[in-house]
Amino acid sequence: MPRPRKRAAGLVVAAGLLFFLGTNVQAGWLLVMAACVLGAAMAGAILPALMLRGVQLDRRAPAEVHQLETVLVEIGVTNRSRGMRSGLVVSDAFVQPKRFLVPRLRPGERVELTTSRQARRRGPQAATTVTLRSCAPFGVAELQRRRRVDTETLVLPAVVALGPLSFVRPADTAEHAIRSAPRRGLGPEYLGIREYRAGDSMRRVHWPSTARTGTVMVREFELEQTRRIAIVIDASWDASWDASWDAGADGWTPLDRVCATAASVASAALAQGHGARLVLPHATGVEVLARADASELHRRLAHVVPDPARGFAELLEGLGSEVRGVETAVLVFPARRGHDRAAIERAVAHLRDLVPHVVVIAVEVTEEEAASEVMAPGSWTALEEGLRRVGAEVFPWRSGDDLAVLLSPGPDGEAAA
Amino acid sequence: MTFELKRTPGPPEDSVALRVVVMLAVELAIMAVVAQHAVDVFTAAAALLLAPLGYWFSYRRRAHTSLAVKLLLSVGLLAALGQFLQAVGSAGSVDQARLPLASLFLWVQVLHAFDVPRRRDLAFSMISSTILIAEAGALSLTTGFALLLVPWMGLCGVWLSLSSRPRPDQVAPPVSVRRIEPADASRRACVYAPARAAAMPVAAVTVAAFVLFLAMPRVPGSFVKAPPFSFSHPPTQLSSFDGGVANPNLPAANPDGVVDFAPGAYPGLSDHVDLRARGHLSDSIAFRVRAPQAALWRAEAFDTYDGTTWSLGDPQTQTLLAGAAPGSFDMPGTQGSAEAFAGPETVRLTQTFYVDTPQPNVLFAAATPSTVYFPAAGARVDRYGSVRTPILLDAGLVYSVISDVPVPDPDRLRRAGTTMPRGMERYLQVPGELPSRVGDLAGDITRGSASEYDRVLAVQSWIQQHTRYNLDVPADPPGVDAVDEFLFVTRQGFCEQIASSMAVMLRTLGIPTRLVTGYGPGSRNPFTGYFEVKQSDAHAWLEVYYPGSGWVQYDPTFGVPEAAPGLGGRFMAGPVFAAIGRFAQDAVPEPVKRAAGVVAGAVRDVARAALHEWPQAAVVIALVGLAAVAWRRRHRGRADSTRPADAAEAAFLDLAAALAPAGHARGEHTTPGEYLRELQGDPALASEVVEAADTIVATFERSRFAPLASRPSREDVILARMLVAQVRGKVGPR
Repeated sequence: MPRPRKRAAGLVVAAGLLFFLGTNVQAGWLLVMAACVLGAAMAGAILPALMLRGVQLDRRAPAEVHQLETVLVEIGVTNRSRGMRSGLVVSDAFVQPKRFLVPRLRPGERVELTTSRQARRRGPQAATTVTLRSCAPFGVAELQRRRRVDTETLVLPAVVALGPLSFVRPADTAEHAIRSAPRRGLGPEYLGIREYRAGDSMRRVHWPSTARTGTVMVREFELEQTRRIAIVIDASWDASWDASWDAGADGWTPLDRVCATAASVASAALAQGHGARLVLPHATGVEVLARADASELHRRLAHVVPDPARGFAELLEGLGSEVRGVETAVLVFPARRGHDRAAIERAVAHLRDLVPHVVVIAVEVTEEEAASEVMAPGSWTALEEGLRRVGAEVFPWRSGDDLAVLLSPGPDGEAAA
Repeated sequence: MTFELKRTPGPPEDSVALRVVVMLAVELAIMAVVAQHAVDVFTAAAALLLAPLGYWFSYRRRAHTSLAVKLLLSVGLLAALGQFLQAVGSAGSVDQARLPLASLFLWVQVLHAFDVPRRRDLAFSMISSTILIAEAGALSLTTGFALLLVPWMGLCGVWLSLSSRPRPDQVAPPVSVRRIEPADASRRACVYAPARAAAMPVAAVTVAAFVLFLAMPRVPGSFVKAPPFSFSHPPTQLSSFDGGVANPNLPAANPDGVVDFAPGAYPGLSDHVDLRARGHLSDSIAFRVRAPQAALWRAEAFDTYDGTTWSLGDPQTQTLLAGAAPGSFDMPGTQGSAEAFAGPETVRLTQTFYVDTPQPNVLFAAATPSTVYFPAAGARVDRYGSVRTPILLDAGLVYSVISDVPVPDPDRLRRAGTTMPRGMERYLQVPGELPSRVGDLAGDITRGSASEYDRVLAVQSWIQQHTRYNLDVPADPPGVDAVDEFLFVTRQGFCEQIASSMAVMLRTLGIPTRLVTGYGPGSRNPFTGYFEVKQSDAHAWLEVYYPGSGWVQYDPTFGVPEAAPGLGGRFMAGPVFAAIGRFAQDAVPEPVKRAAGVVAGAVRDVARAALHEWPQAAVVIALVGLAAVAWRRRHRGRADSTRPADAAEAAFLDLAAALAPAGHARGEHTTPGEYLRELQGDPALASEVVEAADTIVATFERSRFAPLASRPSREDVILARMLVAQVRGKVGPR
């Protein structure tokens, strides 16, 4: 049943007043007006029930989008009934809650609304219902119907375009390095032979095969693969990680920034030919995502949720084979009061024994996100100094700072990208 | 110098349609008040001109709120209030305060029109216009008010509809909106869809309002009493008023001395009632009465019958004395006198009469008047309770009367004694030449009746059963007694003969009676609520005296309206259906009425047959129902078969539409590939646009021509639609 709105009460009160006055001054026209006003209230309370009959909804959205990017979501509203439908308000919480008005819809007509939304929350977005409302024709009562619409979009972490990373040495090759299968290239590993193609160096001709087959054959080599960077993130805590997450509240939380930093560093490293692996806590220990391209890394980071079972220091202490062969370990964590600074320093010192170069990117927690976890300025300094003391390179990402400028500064201090 | 004020929450209303609707509603409300002559000409003209100006000004200034404008409006409101207080101070009655009050309402409305930036302010304008039109409705006497009320109601509906939509700040604007036309089957339905969509709420409101109107009780006001008042244009003074009746509209007497009916004058409203008079009265409205219930509007009473004519046995009158309220006059008290109604219960009835057609100088009122509000002093009352005024009741004259209507109690009347007080002999007078068979008949009729009350009812019942109402009855032969002729020869006549016969027969039985003239209750206009009394409602009835209870009205012709109507009489269903019946009687052509009668008869016969042969009827009804369900399902299936166009095609058509303004309108027979090549050949087009067009065309072609496995995915189609949005952004909005 349509739910009455405030206007219904207004009309009933107006009708009552008109009836009262009309009765007392014996004015029939006031009673006519009272009947009409009350009639409008009654009709207005019933008619919205007809306004949503036969209205169908569908939604289209891209499968993946990066956090904070604008995403175009298409909503189709189709009128399958034989009557005109008017005053339809479509409320869709998918990716970002928005309301849209469809003023009228003729029989059989379809309206496609291309809507613009900002992907505020990281992770899979799968709002299955769209709410359809109508209070036409008089706004006296509103009928609300939820329609199931299956659409899923994965919101990947935001990626900041970084230039050459200051803390990583350039790789030997300009190709993406980490692949699940060997790639042809100029590395030292022999891969096989194949027919000669225009442009192949004559030095690679494999003469025995050429003689055997009568066709010019050349040797192929595997592309040089490097595993230089391990990105370790702290997913043990996040601000605002409560029921509001599922309620669709907006957010750009510390963990989002940790994931965005990890994704940005990984993308920049891969783009520059470095290998990048992702190390993050897992229920059974430590999860390592290696030999993955940027998309895979982003998808994994999109699914990261806070798990307080395993602290960051504990994670670092447990690292061993996971960082074998790694030149640079990039540690990304939210700098908060709840951390045991000494434990982290010890863990970083332990890591420093395993990895030649340790980089720490500390993400600031702001007052709005979690006032109790905000670190005092003195604590920041102590954290930085402590980490530097154990041999780590520290990048504090404070609120308002540009990550690109912070991690890959150009000659004049601006972002190199 | 302008000071910007901090605006209260809510953005300015940009909808011109909403503002125009509100402005029209306000203009109609102002016109309604003006049509009731509730404001002077200057105020009316100023309001009608300034209100639209105010709304235009308010629309232009909706984004700014300046202190100067608010100050000016405040000064204007104070001036209007001052003018109102000054006018009210010099008003002598509530009635005289109507004009300044209406003027104040109008000026508030007009000044408010200059400062309605937001939707909520426009809502206040609508409330204000409701007050204005309600005031006009309270003043309106005629159905013509509907000409203004109906369009105002329509505008209210449009306003409700427009203002119920969310404001632009409450919804997000889509990047693009694409409407896909319905398939052919639905397109036919679309032609009538807007009309149906508009008609449905109108019909729903009309039906609901009609039912509610019928169910709405007309209870007497209990909190705010309708204030009695009087009003008159310059009156027509009678040159020599001595308490007699002056009816200047009556025609001259015939050679035999009889004054016949004139269309606009009833000869019964004079100093005598001649039963030989014949003729017809017109159907023009004599006056309207605002009263909570119907009554016989009594004017005069006659006690002396001479065989053809009723006259006043005692022409003495006395002057009404000024009452406590301004403009009021008290009737001489009958309490304690022999003729007083001594029943246990009376109903106080306040009636206001609006004279429409000139009437004689007699005052019409329900029995028994106690206080009269009349615009002229010097009115006189005779011993029969009839009031004569020193001025004629001209058209436009308004007066009020408060009456204490007796509520007869049959048990009490049955127990009434037989001892007549002194002075009641005049009401038993019969002419000496009255044939004895009149008395004999009365005796026969009432044989076995135990009480006076039962005898009265017996005589009334006999007359109702054995005589016929006929306005065209021929004149009586000379020298006959009118009552004897009616009872024993013609048995046809109109109210005067019928009432006279009952009065005379009762007198032969020793029961005091008197003939009363005036007007019947008329018909209640269901819309205005006023009783509309026509000239042809002029009427004669009688009053019977019961010792200890006083005079009680009897109308053997049409009956006396209930003095204390029950609950059923409080609803408008009766008057409404009666009005519809009258309309049908008058307006529907005779052949249509006959056809309707035939159809109704056929329906009745079928229903009767169905009841008689109910098993077969049940089978037929079930078959018809099944056929209807099958038809509906088939029809719905057809409606569901319509599918929207393919989204990839939609993207391509959108692309062509977006690029058409840039000089790339797609020819009717141009294939997508040709169109793409045309775009690629235009160096002026940005490379991003051409690349986007390439993707869109490829997606469309794949959706149409590729094998099923290679059709574009949902993501491909979304990409195409997004690219269309980008192209729009590059080449400008559609």
